[in-house]
Amino acid sequence: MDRSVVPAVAAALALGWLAGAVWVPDALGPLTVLAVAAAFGLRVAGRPTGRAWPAVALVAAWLALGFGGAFWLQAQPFAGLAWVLVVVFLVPLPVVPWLYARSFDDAGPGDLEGRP
Amino acid sequence: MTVLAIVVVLAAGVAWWGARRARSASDYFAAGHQAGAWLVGVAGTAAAVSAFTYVGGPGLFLVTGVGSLWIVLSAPLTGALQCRVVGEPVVELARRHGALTPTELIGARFGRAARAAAALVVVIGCVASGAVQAKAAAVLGESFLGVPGVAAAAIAILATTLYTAAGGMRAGLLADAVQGGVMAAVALALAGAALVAAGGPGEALAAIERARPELLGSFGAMPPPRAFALYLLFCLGTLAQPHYIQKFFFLRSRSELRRLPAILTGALAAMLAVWLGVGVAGTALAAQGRLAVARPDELTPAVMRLLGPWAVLLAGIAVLAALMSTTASFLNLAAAALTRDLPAALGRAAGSVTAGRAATVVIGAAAVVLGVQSERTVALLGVAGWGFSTAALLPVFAIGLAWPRARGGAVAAAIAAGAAVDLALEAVRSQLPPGLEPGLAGAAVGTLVLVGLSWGPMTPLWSARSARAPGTPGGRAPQRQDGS
Repeated sequence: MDRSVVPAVAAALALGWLAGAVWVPDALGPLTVLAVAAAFGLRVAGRPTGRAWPAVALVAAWLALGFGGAFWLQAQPFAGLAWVLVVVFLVPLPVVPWLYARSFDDAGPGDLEGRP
Repeated sequence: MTVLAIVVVLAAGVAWWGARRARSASDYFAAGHQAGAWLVGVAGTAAAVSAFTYVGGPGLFLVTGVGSLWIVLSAPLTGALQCRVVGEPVVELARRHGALTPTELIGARFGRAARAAAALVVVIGCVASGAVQAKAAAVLGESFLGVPGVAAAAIAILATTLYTAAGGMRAGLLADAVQGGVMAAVALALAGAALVAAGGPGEALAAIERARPELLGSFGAMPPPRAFALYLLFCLGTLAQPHYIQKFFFLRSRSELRRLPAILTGALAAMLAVWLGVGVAGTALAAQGRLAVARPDELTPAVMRLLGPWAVLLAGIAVLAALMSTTASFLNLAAAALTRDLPAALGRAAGSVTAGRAATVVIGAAAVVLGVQSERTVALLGVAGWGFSTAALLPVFAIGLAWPRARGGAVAAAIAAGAAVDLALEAVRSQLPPGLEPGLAGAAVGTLVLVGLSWGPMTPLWSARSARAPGTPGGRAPQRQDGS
């Protein structure tokens, strides 16, 4: 995937977020998942190697699971708190930095200024 | 008062140490680009975690319960996200252009107009965020240390100003790292002690469930759209906070980034223990009738008084460390924006280190005056300050640095549009739908402006090619900007 998708995705998410926040508040959960995954994907787009894409997909899947469970358990006092603390917070605490270190690209971020 | 006197003496020592080492602008504003991942990680987290975490966070738990945690639930992601999205390009571009601060980098990449807009935002945002810390210092003085709030705010900010003005980020980085270690250890100790005082985690939660069960659902007493909005604001907002981005300029090499997220995340998780531990314990103690709290900001002080004088002292030291470490970064960034970016944007020579020192003192004084006069709670002030930087700078740091076609004029317009939308919506915050967070709305509008103007036809007014690096059409050679 090349960097030309960056502004298109960013603009679509920005418009979607504004519309959701005003008219469709129930859509903010899925939009949050998409926005965070897209933020991780920003820097992966246009890289010579695609080794970070599985990490981005894993983060998106975990966020979707965490937010979905939180929404499901919102009226359950102990289960809701436990889900949020364990699944959304504690489980990824060591995993995400480890994923970053594993997918760290020594080649650098590549072209940043439109150089040929 | 003894604690504050000791702090001033220690600050004077750090100032003396730093003043002997901060000789060039590179030393003063970027700690000489010589720090490793551990130093930057612990110091960066100390600068990131403000008094908001110790005072505002537990107070917010009292009001909204688990809903308040959505502000910090993105902590597992933010270290990696910052390094991936901002850290990697910032380290690369800072080396290429010789930039020392986030605003200089914007200038080197996008030209004068963008640099001027970013500098104005940084000055406003840093003074406002410094005011949050001054406000927290006032709460600290009145609630923890038994001294008048104005005196506590003035002394705490003065001590920070002293070493920041004298030694810049050479002194600031060292002080932040020590303060970070203290903050993490004290946060864990206070969280544990508070939960024990409330009868243990199980009894504390049971007490809350009996009195206010709605606080313990996944979103507590907060509407889910607002919880998601706060999650996103404090997740993506880390990509736009000048004091977060500043730490990448201190790194000695790009390879340090590999382990930085683990250090950032670990230090942050330890410090956030106080939010959950004191929040849960304090809310339970209030439900049990053992604490009387009139305002959310009074929860942490009330819990500490219940624990005993040792806890009051430790909490006072931790809050002082938190607000000083955060304030140091704000003072330094605002000084750089005033003395280097704004003159450069007007075509004048960048100010000297001496000018930076003078500006630091002026900004510190302004923060104290604004902070002690504000009637808002620390939590509300913290969210507003964070949102302003997010609205103005997220498009440029997240999209602009990832998209080679982003143009200078479009970046300047996006910064202005984002800041204006945030300020306009903050003025009517109480009437907004729960999911419409002003900072995110500003960032969304700024993103649309950036994309629309960069894609559309550009007039010479919007062109920033003349300030671009070699290799871009019409570019010029980069100049070393550290004055060394």
